Amino acid sequence: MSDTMKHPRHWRSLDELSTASLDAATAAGSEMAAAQTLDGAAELTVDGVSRRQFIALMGASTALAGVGLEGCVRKPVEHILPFAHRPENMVPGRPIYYASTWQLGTSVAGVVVESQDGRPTKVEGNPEHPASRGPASTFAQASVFGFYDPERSRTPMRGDAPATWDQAWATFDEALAPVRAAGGEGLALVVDTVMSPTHRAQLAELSRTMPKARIFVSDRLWPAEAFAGAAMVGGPKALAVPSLAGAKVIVALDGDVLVSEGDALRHARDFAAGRAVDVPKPDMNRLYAIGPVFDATAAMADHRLRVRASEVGTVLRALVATLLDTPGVDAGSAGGLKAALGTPALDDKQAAFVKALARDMVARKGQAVVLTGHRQPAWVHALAHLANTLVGADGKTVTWRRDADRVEGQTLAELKAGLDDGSIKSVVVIGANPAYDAPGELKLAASLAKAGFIAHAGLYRDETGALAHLHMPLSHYLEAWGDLSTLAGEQSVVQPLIAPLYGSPSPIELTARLLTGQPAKGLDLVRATWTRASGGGLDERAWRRWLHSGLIDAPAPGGSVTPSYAQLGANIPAPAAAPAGYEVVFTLDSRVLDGRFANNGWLQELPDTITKLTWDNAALVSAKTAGELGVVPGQMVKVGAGSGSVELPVWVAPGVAERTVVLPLGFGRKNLGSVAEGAGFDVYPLTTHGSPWLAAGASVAAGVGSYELATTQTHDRLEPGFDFPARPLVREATISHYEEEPRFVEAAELMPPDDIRSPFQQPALTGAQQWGMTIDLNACTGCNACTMACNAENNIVVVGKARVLKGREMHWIRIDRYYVGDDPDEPQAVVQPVNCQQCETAPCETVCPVAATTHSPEGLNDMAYNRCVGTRYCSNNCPFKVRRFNFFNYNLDIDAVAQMQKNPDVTLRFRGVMEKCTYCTQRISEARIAAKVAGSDVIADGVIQTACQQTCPTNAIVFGDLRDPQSRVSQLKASPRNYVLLRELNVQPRTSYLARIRNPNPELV
Amino acid sequence: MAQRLEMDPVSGRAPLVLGATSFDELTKAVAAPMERTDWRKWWVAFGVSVSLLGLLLVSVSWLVWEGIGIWGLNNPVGWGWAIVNFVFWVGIGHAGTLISAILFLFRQSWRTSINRSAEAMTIFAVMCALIFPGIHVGRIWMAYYLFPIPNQMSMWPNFRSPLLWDVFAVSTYFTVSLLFWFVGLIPDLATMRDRATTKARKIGYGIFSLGWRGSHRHWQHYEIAYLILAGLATPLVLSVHTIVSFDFAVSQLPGWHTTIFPPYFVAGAIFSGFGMVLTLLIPARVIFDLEHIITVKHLENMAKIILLTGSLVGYSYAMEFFIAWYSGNPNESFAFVNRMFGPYAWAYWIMVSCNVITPQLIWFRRVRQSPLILFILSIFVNIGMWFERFVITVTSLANDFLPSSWGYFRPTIWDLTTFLGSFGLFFTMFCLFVRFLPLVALAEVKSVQPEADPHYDPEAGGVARGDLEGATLAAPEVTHA
Repeated sequence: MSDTMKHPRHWRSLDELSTASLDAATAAGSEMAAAQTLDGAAELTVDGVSRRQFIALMGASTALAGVGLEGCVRKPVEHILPFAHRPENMVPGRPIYYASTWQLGTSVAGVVVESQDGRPTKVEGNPEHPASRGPASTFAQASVFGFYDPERSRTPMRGDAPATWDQAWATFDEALAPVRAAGGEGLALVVDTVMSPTHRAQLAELSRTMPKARIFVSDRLWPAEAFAGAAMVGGPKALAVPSLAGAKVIVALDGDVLVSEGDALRHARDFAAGRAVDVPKPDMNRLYAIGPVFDATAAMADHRLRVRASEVGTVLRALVATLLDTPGVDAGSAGGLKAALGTPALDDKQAAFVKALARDMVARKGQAVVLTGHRQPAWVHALAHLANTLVGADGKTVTWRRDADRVEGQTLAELKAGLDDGSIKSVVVIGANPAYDAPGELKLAASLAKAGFIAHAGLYRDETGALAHLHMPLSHYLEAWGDLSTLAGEQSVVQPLIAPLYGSPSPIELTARLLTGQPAKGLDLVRATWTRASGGGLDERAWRRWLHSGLIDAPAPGGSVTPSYAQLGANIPAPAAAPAGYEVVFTLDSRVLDGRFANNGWLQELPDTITKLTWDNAALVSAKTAGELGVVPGQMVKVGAGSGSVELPVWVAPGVAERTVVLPLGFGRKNLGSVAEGAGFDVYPLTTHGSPWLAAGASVAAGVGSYELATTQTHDRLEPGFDFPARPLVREATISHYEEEPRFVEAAELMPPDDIRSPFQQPALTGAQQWGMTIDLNACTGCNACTMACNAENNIVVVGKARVLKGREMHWIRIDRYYVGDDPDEPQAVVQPVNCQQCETAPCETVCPVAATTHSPEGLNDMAYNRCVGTRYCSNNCPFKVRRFNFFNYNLDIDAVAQMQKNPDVTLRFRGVMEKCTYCTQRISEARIAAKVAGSDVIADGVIQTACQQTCPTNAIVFGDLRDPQSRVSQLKASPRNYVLLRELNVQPRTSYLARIRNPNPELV
Repeated sequence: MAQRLEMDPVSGRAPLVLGATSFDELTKAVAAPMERTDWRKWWVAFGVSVSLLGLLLVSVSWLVWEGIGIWGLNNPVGWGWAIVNFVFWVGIGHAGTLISAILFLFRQSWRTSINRSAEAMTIFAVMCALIFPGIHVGRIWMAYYLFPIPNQMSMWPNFRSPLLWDVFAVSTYFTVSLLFWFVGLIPDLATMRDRATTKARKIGYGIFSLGWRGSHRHWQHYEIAYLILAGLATPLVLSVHTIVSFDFAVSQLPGWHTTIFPPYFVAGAIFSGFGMVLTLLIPARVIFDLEHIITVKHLENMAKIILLTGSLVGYSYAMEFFIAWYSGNPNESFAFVNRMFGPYAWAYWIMVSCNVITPQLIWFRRVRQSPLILFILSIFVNIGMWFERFVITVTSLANDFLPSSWGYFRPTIWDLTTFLGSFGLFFTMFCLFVRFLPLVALAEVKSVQPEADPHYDPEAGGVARGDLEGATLAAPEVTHA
């Protein structure tokens, strides 16, 4: 036996062993084998061998086989647990949905998470949550990918050595117990934006129990300037919560307020609702965008004033001054402010813009609102509040409240000072990453190295984690209990979908450990908070209701605020001449934000709405500025600002202000993960503590060499070139033109519709329901949420930068962006989501030699992946180029953790097959089954929502049955704005578009 | 040797074979390349060709292992070099059958000197062509779905797809061309069998000459079979490239969706086929001492066909533009202007220079009669026709209806190696051909010699008295074999 153990052999049957037992089999082994064989043979040849004997023989053989295998091949241990006690409502293979809440900076929105056999696979918005009302943002959609990121931190690390959780907690407690005993002496707690009532209460308790501990907020998404601006006029912790519901004149001051900033999800829906034109007596809102960056909001604007970031305040001064001078405007407490505003120097265009805007705002008193981007300084925010007050927005489009339990924290400059002078000895970082995203000027990483003990908890072992003496993985929101409050005060519960993958604590659990030195369970902490809030007794029924609906029906604490502008004058700096030289504007990247999503492949590969860049950031400049600098797109430029200098490629972005360089943050991360590695350039070294979003007087010069940037679309306009006329792909009109000529979309057709005839009789589509879609270009902001939702729903792969460069990205729904206008630096832009148009006479179907793509009776253009041989002829013949080919086996070797994200209802595609949008055919099937079970052949309107439709923040996408004249999609298709792409080809697409309507101010036309 | 005949004594036209060669001398001249003893040069050529063939095998193996992504294809350019190469090789495969079938039916007896090698070239070119549709699909192991094989899924291929028509058209063409070539080879194989000095040759040629003994009955059957196959092959010459052109014309892509494609493609195919025949035969006639059989007159005739088809191709280019403009379809007009001046203008102008401009030099007699210049011109034709397919395939796909989805195709090293490798296959086959099979259709050449005519009478000045009264014979003295 022992010899067998030393010389293990692989064999499958006794025969094999006995015939091949010449070399290694020991005498003992041979004897055993022979005995078994003989025994068995003797028994089996006898008639009437009993079942029992047979089983015994089998068992012995198997046992012997086990002996032979011992020590060489070890099968993985699998625990198969029978559903002897099946969890309630759990049907294997059927998803269950749980309400939870998603936070990104101060933006909090309810979500509903799909759980497939215990795995969260898809995030959708919570229709009952007022900040969501159905959609989930691009980032929330992508959060499942981040959750299953195989490169998330999995084990605690003591220095560079992995540790067990017991060791990690021992280290944590050992280091912090003395600190706790000393009342927090020398302790710095660094947190990100805290919007959780429980966490806020814990931090308040920390300040009580450890009065000497210092709390710092390190988060680029923390709108410090906005808070300071509100505090200037409303007192400490005052908050102005704007709402676009009912707003008719909307001014976006240097902020992407509809897509990536703050409560964009909420604003986008209200904004789109206010643009409805196919209603009786349409009263469309009007959007003015003022600022240096041409972002999605600027592309949506009816009027855009392109000014440098430092001039935004100047324009606002002029606007407020004009409003104060307007008869009928009650200056109120701002009566004496006129002098502080000075006389802003505006050029003619700006002056005319301000005049018209002021008149428009006054005319729409109570329906006008100014939204200020987080990049602008506090006084601009305060002045914008004044503008709102002057036009009667308070109480209507702006609600003031006091965010009473907000934890303000100290600044990172104070953290640095404390570290440098030794007064801070222990640092606990929860969810923040100051070593990377603190202003570069502070060189905080060097200061952190002086701390005696750093404990870091984060999703990744990031730059701060690498410095830390103890790094601990932090729980993702999909695996942790918590609670959240929106800025407006709506509160909700965060409930986990799965036990922590790596045994990690949540932020509140970690804070509790810091407070007490004892382990605590997130659920208990959250329930304790709400037990306290309910006055001591938590009603179990209420708790269950909150979990079910995802919303706590109790108001957040706070108080009313009435802004006063009497003291504002002192805070407004003296008007200064526009600074010469280059300005650098730092923006949160539209995909990785401040860098927190840098290792999320879905987001890295998502094209920016306007630049269409993937996988990288670049210095965005206007065409004129690029000309001044003498650089071409892709060429390296050297940007010097603050105390640093960075070399990165330049990209010409029409619409950026002159002598302005826009630098998206969040790239160039090192040692974070394979996705983030090598993606883009870190521009944090250029940022300063005093002015974290703007660097005036920067130096910009052409650098050495060039860099290949991957875009999914080049600088396309609708004019194809060579003086050919614009292609009528995106159709638009002004509201007045639309009223005069409602069928203006038809005028753009290349062929008169009556001339379009088919020489063939098309086979009838016999399905009882015929699916179709409309996409409202008047609502679409190009936010990319649809693309991301489709990624999650349809298991769409990430292919990487090299393949995007080759033009092989796999998105099933893409956002086409076209510039409009003649001046490359004063463009307008339109966006157009394009998915498979599900043509009734689909050109792809006729050319497929193996009939892999065919038409369903319900009008869908189906793809049979099993049948596809990959001739790519269908893609060639697709006029919309929406088909995507698997050039390689992208689904080979998916990490075991990453596999868990895949939607089991959708096939993973093998290499060599074509794929494309299916109108979420799996959702149609699911609804059909449910309808049939309920005894109906017809699926009611609205039951099926495609993934893109469901998450569209502006309700731009509507899907439904075309045969039912009452369905929403049928009614939208009856709109005079309805048109299809390339009608002259007579492919009869099922996806149609509703033309965009602009609402220009007649004074500015 | 005999004196040079200035005129065929029977037909009264310039002789097809120069040097008044006897049947015996013809046989020796044609058999010489196969019966030589010094094969060193052949081994060099064969070695190079086989190396390239090895490159093809490596490229295809890597392709099957890794996926189509090793090529430069993208979205929107779903077809790249594979399809370009396919059309290029199929086009080349047109000259041989045209020469042997259509010219046979038209009794163009000059074809006899070149038809054998042209047909061989056709077959090898079609073999090269057949590789590409096979390997360019994403799932090569499922490519049999393209064939109408009864299966458990009860699934037919889609008979509406031009790719399926391609499968039938090209495979039919290949089969008929191969049969036609083989039937024509039988008498010559018998000659080689009879001349064989080694056992292996005797058996090999013996098997493939199918017991040919040259009896009258054999000849009668042979002539009928050859005529029938010529009749079958003739429409195929026209149909194959017509159907290949349907791959493009049946789609709705601007630049592809054009009714002129079938005749335009056929003209282009004949153009490229004759180009390749010249490329092969101009060196071959020198290397194998066949200049008296494949004469300048033959080259000149082929050059004239190149001039004609090249002009037809040029006309088609012009007509495409005219129709694009005349149709008033902006997508169509853009596609053609974009070809000329867009991102692929370089390819377009290479195509026009090689296909339309340089062949016009053939109007000059001195050019037509210079094998060297014709050889250079033929290389231009090959290059130009490859680029024609590239321009059609890639420029149309790269810039179509929606400017947002436009792209640019860049080939990879694997595109290049696969293409070069296909030349390896082609030349490997050609090397084997010249070593083992007669390069010239010996029986047919003999049949157009004056001696083959029943009226031939060397005593009477070459022709039976009374048959050709008044015919002037420059050289009455003819050596009889």
